[in-house]
Parts: sequence; structure tokens; C-alpha cells
Amino acid sequence: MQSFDEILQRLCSVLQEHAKGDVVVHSDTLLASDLGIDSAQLMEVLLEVEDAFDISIPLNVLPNVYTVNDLCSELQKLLGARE
Amino acid sequence: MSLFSKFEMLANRRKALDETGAQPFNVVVERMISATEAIVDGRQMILAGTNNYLGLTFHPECVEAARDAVKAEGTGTTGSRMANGTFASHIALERDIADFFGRRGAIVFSTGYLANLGILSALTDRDDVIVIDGDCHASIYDGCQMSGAEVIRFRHNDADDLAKRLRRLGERAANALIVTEGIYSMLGDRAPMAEIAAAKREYGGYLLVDEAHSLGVLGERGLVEVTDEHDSVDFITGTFSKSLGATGGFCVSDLPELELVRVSSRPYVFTASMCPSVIASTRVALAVLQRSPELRDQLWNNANRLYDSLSELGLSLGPEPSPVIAAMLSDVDEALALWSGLLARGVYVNLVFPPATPNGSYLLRCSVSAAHTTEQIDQIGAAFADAQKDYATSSAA
Repeated sequence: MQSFDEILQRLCSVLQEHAKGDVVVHSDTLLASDLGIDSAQLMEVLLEVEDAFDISIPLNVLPNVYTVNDLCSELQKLLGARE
Repeated sequence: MSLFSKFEMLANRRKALDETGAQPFNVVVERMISATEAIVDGRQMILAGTNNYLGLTFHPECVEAARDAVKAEGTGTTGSRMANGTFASHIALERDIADFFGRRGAIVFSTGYLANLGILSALTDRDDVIVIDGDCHASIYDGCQMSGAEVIRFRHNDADDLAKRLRRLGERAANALIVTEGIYSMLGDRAPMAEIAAAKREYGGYLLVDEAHSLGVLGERGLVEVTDEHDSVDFITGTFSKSLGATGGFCVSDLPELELVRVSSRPYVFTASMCPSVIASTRVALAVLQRSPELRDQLWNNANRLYDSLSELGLSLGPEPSPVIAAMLSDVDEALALWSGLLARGVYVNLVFPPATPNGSYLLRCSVSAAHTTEQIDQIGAAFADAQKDYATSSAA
């Protein structure tokens, strides 16, 4: 099972490809405002995240996801449940 | 933080919009003239954004049926289907719809929105999974949310992405509910039904198709009919408010469990039922749809003509000709200028802003009707050309 830090590192790498401007993605980065993308674009980015981890993120968990760290926690739960 | 703090962003956007002078979300139809014309802001307009695909809203037989029903049964039912709100005409309409689709049973709802809300929330709960196309209508998203089920999106019209997500579900895929639409309401593109049905057959699950914009437009019954996928589709939902020119919604299915929705669906139980005049006009409109294939031919002639006309102007349109023809713009000022320019030339279309649009674009959304004359279609195209020229001139100045 991947560790939290391993997931975080990979997640940051995927998000960095979509971040606008000089933003450096880290665990406290706010997904909506800091990445410089709107909510519709964020949903597209999440599809890329899902493919990177070969997992589907239910829409139900998103209302409680604000930061990269929050998303990483959800990914860890989903990856853990799969194993 | 006040109760209304959450509206701050919307209020600012609305204020900015008001300052442009355009009022795209405050259009008032002062008087209807016909299925395709009305008085708006004191001026006669061609209506090119009404979803009135077959133009039946003023059909003499539909109007007469509605008038007779009001006289005979009153203006409303004043009650729920579960209480005093089931009239013989509701049952007759359900039989008509079930027979029309060749399905065992049908349930009608008070609106199309409620049909999706009522079916999705009743069929699934927190132990289930719904897999939906990312561009599904708000009624589908809201129904999913109301159900409490786990909701997973697949990339719009991408059957391979659907298959991938079903694979990821493992054994749970066998009980998943897959949701797609016949024609998508914003860009007018249709679902790859054969490929979606194939994914369902490979991984299992149930398939629901919303034919709101394809009923009476693609064949008589929609995309499932023209792709010959009847046996792959478990539920079809739709509305009476577009091709049939009234209001109300439905779900049909061969599964006997559909009947249980009547006792478990809050959007079915806790609202007043369709009023008799609406049922009467809908039943007649359904008969007109079946005996008048020339309406569909005229609709598609009009759709192809306008699509070609707008394509020639270099506008970015949806991927295929359809009665829904949307020009996609990336700039809000251009969208507002063109929309206002069309209105000034006597043409009303829908202006749609993100996030209700795919890809974050601004849409000038036209919907074509069989009732549009060729001259009206050409006037719509000419108005686009003139508005586009005006905007180019003003932005160059």
C-alpha cells in the first residue's frame, strides 16, 4: 500500500501540470483558488488525477475537499479500500 | 457571516451583468403570437430558444383537448398522486406512454426535473453506485445527490472511460446504475449509445437514458429507438415539456419494480399531480407526433440549414447538426454583445454562462422548431451574421 507521502508526491506532480502561473503545488495548496483554475476546470483535472491512480473519486467526497492534503487523504482511503 | 453571504459572488456577477445593459436572465415574453414568435420588450421576436421542437404548443387539437379538459375536470388536481391526485387521465397517459415505448410500465411526474429526481432518488441509496456522464443535466445531478448513492462521473460521451470506471468498481458494477442522455441539452450532441450499451453488457449494471431532448427528434422515441438498443436500456426518462409542448415528465421500464417507485419516491408523492389540461394536450400531442413524421423531417431540414449557416460564419458549434445548435464563445463581452445584437434584430436565443456549460464556454444556444419557416431560419442566420459584424466593428474601434 502506498504511503501518504508517496500519494501526495504523485498527486502534486499531476496537479502541477495543470496549475496556472508560478504556483508551486504543495499539501496546503487550495485546489480551487490557488491553482488558478475555475470549478469546471478543476473537475477536468480530477479526471486526470483519477487516471493517474486508476481510481474513481466519488463526487460525494468533494464537498469536504479544499486542499491538496484533503484530496490526498481521500485518495489514501479509496486506494486502501481497493486493496 | 450573514445568511446571505453566500450570494455575494452571484450578486457581484449579476451587478456586472446589469451594468452592461444586457438582461439575458430577465427576458419576459409579453405575448405569444405563435409557436415561433412573441412580443418581447415591446417588439416582435423570432423565438429560437424554446425547445419547442415539433412546434405543437399551438396545435389546434392540443389546445382544444386542453380546453375541454379544463371544462370537464377543472384547473388542477390539488393533490398528490398518492392521495386525491390520481385521475383516470393520469392512468391513461401512463398507458399511452408505456405502449408508445413498448414497455411494461410507466410513471408520470409533474415535471421532467421531478422525473429524474424521483427515479434516481428512489432507485438508489447510500449502498449503491451511480455512474453518470459528466455533462448530464442538473436534474440528474440533483437526483443523484438526493439518493445519497456514491456518484461517479465518466468523461462526456466517452464509452471507454465509462468502461474503465465500471472495471474499477469490480463486483459492484453488476448493480451500478449508468445514466446518460439521448441528446445533450447544451451542445446538441448525442450519446454513443451502442458503445455505452456494450460497456454495460460487459460489466453489468442497469442503464437509464434521459430522452428529454431526443423524444420526437431522433425517430419517434429517441436515441434508444434509432440505435436499436431497446433491450440494453432498463429505464427511459423524459419530459412532456419539449417535443410535446406541455409540462410533466415520465419514466418507462420493463422492470416490474418500477411500480414500487410510486410508494418510495418523495418527488412523486409530495407534490401535486399534473393538471388535467396538461395531460389532455400531452396525450393528443403524442398522437400527433406518431402520425406526423413530416414534422420531424421539417425539424431536421431547419436544423441542418441553421447549422450550415452558422458554420459558414466561422462560429464554433457543437460536433454535429442537431435541433440544439450552440455557438461556443470564450469571451463574455462577445457573448453579451452578440446576444444583445440578436435581440435588437428580433431574434431571441438562450445565453448560457458557465458553470452550466461544457468546457467553461459562453453559449448562444439556439433550439430549432419544425414550426420555423425557412424564411425565419434564414433570418436567424442573417441576424447572427449582422451581430457578428457589428461586434467586430465595435471591438476594432
